[in-house]
Amino acid sequence: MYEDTDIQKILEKRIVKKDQGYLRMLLGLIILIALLIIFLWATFSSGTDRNKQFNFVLSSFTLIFIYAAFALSLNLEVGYVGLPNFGKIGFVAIGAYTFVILETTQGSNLFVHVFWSVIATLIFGVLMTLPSLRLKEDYFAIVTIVAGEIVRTIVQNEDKFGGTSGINYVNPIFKKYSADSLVKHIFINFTSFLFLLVIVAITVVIAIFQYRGYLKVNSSKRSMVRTLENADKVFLFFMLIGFIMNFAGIMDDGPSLGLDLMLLLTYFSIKIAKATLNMIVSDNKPTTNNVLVGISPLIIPIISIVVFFLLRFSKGDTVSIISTPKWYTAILSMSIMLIAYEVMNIMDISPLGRTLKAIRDDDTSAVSVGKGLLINRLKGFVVASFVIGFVAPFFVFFNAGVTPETYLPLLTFILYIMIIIGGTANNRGVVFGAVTIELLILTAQRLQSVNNAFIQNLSYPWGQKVDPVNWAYIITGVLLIVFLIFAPEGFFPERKYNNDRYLDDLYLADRDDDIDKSKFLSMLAKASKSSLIYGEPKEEIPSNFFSNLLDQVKNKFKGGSENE
Amino acid sequence: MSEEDKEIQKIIDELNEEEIKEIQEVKTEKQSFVTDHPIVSLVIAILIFIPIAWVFSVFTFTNLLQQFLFSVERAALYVMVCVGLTLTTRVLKFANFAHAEFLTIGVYTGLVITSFTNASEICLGDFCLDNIFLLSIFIFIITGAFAVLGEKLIFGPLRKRNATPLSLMVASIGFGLVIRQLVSDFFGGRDQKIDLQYPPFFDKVGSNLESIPVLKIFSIWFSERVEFSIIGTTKVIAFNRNMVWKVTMMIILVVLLQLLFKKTTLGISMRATADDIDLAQISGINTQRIIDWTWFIAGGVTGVGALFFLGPQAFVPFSGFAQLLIIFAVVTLGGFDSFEGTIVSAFIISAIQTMTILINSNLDPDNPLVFWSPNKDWSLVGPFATIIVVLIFRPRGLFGLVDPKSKL
Repeated sequence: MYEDTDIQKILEKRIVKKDQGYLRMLLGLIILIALLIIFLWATFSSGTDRNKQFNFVLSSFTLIFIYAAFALSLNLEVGYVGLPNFGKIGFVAIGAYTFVILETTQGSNLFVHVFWSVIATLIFGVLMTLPSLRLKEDYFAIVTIVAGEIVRTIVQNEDKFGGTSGINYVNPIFKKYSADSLVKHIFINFTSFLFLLVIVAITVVIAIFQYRGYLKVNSSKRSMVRTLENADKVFLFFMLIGFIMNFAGIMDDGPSLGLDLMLLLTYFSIKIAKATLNMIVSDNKPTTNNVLVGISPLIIPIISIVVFFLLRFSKGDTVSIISTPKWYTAILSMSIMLIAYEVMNIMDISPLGRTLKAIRDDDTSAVSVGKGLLINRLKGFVVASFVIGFVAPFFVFFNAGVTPETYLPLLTFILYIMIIIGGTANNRGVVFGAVTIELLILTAQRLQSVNNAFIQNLSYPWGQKVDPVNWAYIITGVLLIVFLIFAPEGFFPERKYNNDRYLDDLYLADRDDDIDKSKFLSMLAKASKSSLIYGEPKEEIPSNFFSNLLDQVKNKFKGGSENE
Repeated sequence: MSEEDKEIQKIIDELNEEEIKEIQEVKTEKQSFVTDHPIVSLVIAILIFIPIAWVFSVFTFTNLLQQFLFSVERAALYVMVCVGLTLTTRVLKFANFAHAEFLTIGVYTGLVITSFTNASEICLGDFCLDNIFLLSIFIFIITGAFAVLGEKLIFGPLRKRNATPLSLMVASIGFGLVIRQLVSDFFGGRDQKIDLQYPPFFDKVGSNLESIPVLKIFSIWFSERVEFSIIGTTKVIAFNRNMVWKVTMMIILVVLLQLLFKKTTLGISMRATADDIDLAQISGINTQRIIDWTWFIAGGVTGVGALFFLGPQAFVPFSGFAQLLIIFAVVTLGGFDSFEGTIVSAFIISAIQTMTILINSNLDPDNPLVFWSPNKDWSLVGPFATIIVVLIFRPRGLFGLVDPKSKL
């Protein structure tokens, strides 16, 4: 017979694992918030020019979001496909240079040139994947890093590509408005109001139709959460269009700060609504009250939209508070990063993502069940290169052009560190890692010029001054090593789907011939569906839970054998 | 005879002659002439270089010889710097990205010893602390110690936890980052330089040798600067004591390593560990000790190489890291874990690099066939393109043997 303690051990192990995961995430968030506070303190206590300080914050976050998008793309290659691509920065260089050269020679046409940038990166990505079948891991790493370096050398040496000094490029949208009046309106006008209403309506309609579809196969709660998940993706798409239209001046005679704020507010409200729904609504039986409480965060943006619309009539307009294009790049890069994040999340749960993970874990068995090695790796690399080709033009916006020094292999190494510390094959973790590491480095940059006597006077006994940036990199390196040794899965461990569970159960069932395996499995499956074990632990687990469960299982089996 | 032995004997008896021949043939195939005799392969590599250089160059013999000497000098430096990486890769089975930082440590150790402690005053007879031979020994020990530290703190614990090669690679990136930033924080980003100091008696010996006609050629090892003129031309070949000693040190190093691998117990156990770590452990080899020694030798050799590689020119804390890719190019082309391959590919890469520079400097930029800008620095593109092409056709480099366990 199976031992009582066996099942108990397995179940206990799972709960403990889950708790540890949450603790680590909490620790990560605390570190992030602490860093953010230090960053803001360092920024606002260095120099006296407020405008400069705001500029620095905005451009810092632009850089952070762009790096997060790069890291997400690299994570697809390293975490899911399992190929160590050390030449990521070469891909970025290809995309950025294609975009800039087309923009400067053919005249500005944002959408078409982003398309060509994507195509160029895709071709490079496909070319880089082809040798992966024949090459071992470390050889592949060398080939990619060297290919990236060749790209950099070519653009550095050829005068057609700008040479050492690179190409300066400013998008006409920035040129159109003078720096003083980049944000013309704080509030929103009638067209923007209409636009917001229309996209909210479209999102709601899509959500209602999808909810009905999901309801046929899922429980009510699951359908509701899934519907909101898709609704925020739809809204994200419209949000990006809204940002671009706003700054291109299609909505109004000048960009409006209010529209951007409202779009962001609505997007994050949908996210918050999803989270609250997930928490509040109990499994399978959502009452009307629950649902209303759950989606109540959605009311906030709707009220604010109306308020921002009405305020325009009472307060007037044409107020310029932000005199910098940095606002635009920050907002754009954030929405681009969010899109990359959503794409990677879809990859995570899609059949392709699961196939890639199977190939990564054991390519021989994946091939033996009919999964093509090359074609799947190509698909993975194509998606990753697509994201890079899409983000690279925005990296150009941030740098106001291209210079070869931006595309040194060191950047790829930093991206790797972000992935490892955040958590390989976990998109949330990758974004967290990117934000934390980049914030750490940027904080150190600010600390160099902070008005603080203690930090300014730090020096070694032999007279060399202590440089905070160096120490930021040292801390990063030490963190990386510590994580690799003691917690290789990072702050946010990879989400395991049910595979392990089934393996354990099969193993238990195999050990005793008397057990009716199908019944045993269905019993354990039921137990596993219970939110007590696999959901977020909402209430405390009763002390006799395991023994009760075990008794239930035993009784079932006894009953089953008697009936037979 | 036990029963098992009897069974084995039975199987051997059952093998017919053809099968035995097949097995023997496979054995002989594996023993290729080139891989078994590194010195021979070295000579072959040099011989390959000469006709190619003839074809591509429009130079006089003197000029060609001069470039050839530069190429050999660079190759010698590459050998010194890359052999350590080959060693660690072969024994530990991962690409160590922190290897470039051993160069940094080596060269900065030299800097500390020569400049910070007034080393020229610490003398034992003719041997002062800052002469290159004593300096090399110190650098060897200190850089080796740093490498062992890395093993103890990072790679050892990771191996115990069954880390994948990828995580070992990333860990080495982190290790490299920490060392690099520490060095640049301690020493600042200033340009530094080490003048290679020779023992005083070298000058005496050199001046004595120069007066003897037959032995004059040996004076290049000892005297400051000797110029050779080729008979029949007025062109002069620039020769440098540093240059000669770089090559000499390389040859000494290669011979010493050969002796280590072939003759000593340590070297033989090192090879055994590299081939199969479990089997080595079963045979009573203390593999952890062997791995420590591997790191020590690899780090030390690289540090000494760095003294010659980076020392004479101006260097900054990032100079070592800047050489990372070319080091990897050399090692990868040679097959990543082949000692002989590294030596040969150092010469090949150096030759390609020299040729890339030569060809580009002699091209006419206005020629429509020349679609690139030949007057720029293309010296790294030649070697990099070569290794990509070679790896596509020979996935394990020129000398790498196919691993029977590998699925590829």
